[in-house]
Amino acid sequence: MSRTQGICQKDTDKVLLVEGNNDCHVVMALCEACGVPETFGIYQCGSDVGVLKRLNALIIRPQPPNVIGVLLDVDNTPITHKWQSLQQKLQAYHYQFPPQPQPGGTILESSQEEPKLGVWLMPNNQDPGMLEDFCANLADPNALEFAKDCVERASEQHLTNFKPTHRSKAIIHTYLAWQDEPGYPLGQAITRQSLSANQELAVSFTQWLTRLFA
Amino acid sequence: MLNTFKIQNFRQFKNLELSQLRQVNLIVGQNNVGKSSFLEALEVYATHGSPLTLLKLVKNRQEDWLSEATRLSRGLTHHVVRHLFFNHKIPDLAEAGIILGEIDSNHSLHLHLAAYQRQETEGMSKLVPINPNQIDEGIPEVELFLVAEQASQTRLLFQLNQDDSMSHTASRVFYNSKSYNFNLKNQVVSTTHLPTRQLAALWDLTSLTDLEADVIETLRLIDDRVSGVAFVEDINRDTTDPENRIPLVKLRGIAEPLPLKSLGEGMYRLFCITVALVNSEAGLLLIDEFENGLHWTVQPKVWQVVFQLAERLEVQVFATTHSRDCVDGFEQAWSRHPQQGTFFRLEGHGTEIKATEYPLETLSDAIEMDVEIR
Repeated sequence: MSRTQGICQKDTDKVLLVEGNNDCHVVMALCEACGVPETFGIYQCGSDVGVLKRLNALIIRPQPPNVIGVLLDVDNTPITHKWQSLQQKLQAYHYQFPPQPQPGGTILESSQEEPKLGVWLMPNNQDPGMLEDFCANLADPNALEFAKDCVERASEQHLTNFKPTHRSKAIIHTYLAWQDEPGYPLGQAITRQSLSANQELAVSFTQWLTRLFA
Repeated sequence: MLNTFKIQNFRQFKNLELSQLRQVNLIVGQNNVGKSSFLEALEVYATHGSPLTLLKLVKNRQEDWLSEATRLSRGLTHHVVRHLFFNHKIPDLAEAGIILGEIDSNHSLHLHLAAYQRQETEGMSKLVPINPNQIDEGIPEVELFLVAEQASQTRLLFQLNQDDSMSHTASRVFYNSKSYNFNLKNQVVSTTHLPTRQLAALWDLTSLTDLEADVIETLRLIDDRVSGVAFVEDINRDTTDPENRIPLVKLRGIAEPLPLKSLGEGMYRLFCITVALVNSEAGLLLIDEFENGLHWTVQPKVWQVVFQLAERLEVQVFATTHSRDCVDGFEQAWSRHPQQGTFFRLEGHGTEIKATEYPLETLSDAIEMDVEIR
């Protein structure tokens, strides 16, 4: 029986675990735009906690995947928090974690028969943030700056009610509101080139995927 | 209580080590990977290699079958208990046999082949062990035995007679249950319950004790009308029939007691497990395919009772399962008693069977994220 359920729930031998559907579609669009070979499936786990739990359960599963990648938002905490919670979750296994995540994405090998493991902390393995901050790097800088100002002014005039942690979401969606066509979700915006897959961060990310799942 | 366990040269296990065991231990794994064999190894260890246990295990799997054809191919080490050894072969004199016990323990049980010579002293015939190295030097009338060695005591289990090594009924059984220095009390609930005669005997030990209330209370998990259980003689059956005593149950609101079996497979299974549990005080309880007959909704509650009674009565429980529902129920109970459970999967790695142990958090994660565990 196939356990594949939908495009963002692929239970494959090489698998990338992501938090939500947005992450899944952004990765798919980037892979297509950059010609990353289709060697892996993507599985969305619903949340950051879901990613860690599924990762923990997959490593020890009968016939575990050969390679597991995880995509996690750092969110508004120091990057060491996410890095430590990942290490904490995997303490029973045999991975040697460097003290800091590598800027170009981390790839870990186990000293035992455990899957090869890749970690990318959104947006860039260094700063706090999330998928939307990653995507902001792919936007036209001038237009993005303008979108930022708009959000700032709307906020000052008490026209907004988003949570402070979602500021970067508000900015990128303001930016996307003015593209052709207005209001495309992040993944499609990459495909339609409103967000550029040629930016340095996107290239670094797709190179990490290629190295990990080669 | 066993804190660790090591199995060498037994059934599928060339060398299996479990470095952490606790009060209640659940084992999963695919068919024929050795779940039942693992329970058998514990039973052999707990009975100090009793020949009766060894023969029972062989008989349970119909490995004691005999045909005219195989009768001709007899060999010295063709005794039926060979099936308990790795590769179905009793190792030679100089080789290690079955070794069972805690890791790094000097109380391990070692079942192996040994050579003896009969010596006459003052009109008494006495068996004297011979060093395997001396056999080639032409010592006459060497007799071979399967022996159990434990804590510097050696007991003869079976004589492997040259003239009739095939049939265990013809070979001599040496067994003296009083010769043990220590003993683990244990009960085994197989995939198909306890034999009725044994169940009746255990109930006789339970009824009118405080433990009776524990059993009745547990049966109420399935039907809260249960108020009592008694075994009665079925005069339709011959008194020598092992099935001639049957359990009846009294339900509140129903005048006539009803056969326990009429209340369904789950009720009977639960009765067997609980009666066995309360009769394993300070010993082992081995349950093969825990879930048999039990509806998934009742399994978390049954596991909860197992954890509670096991702790109170100091019973160490080992159970196997194929069922995801059973693992779910176990995980719920284990979460409430985090220091008392272990969960592991047996699986083949090439020619070896290995155990993969799950920490509680990992088992919980796998269940929550619906990732395969068996």
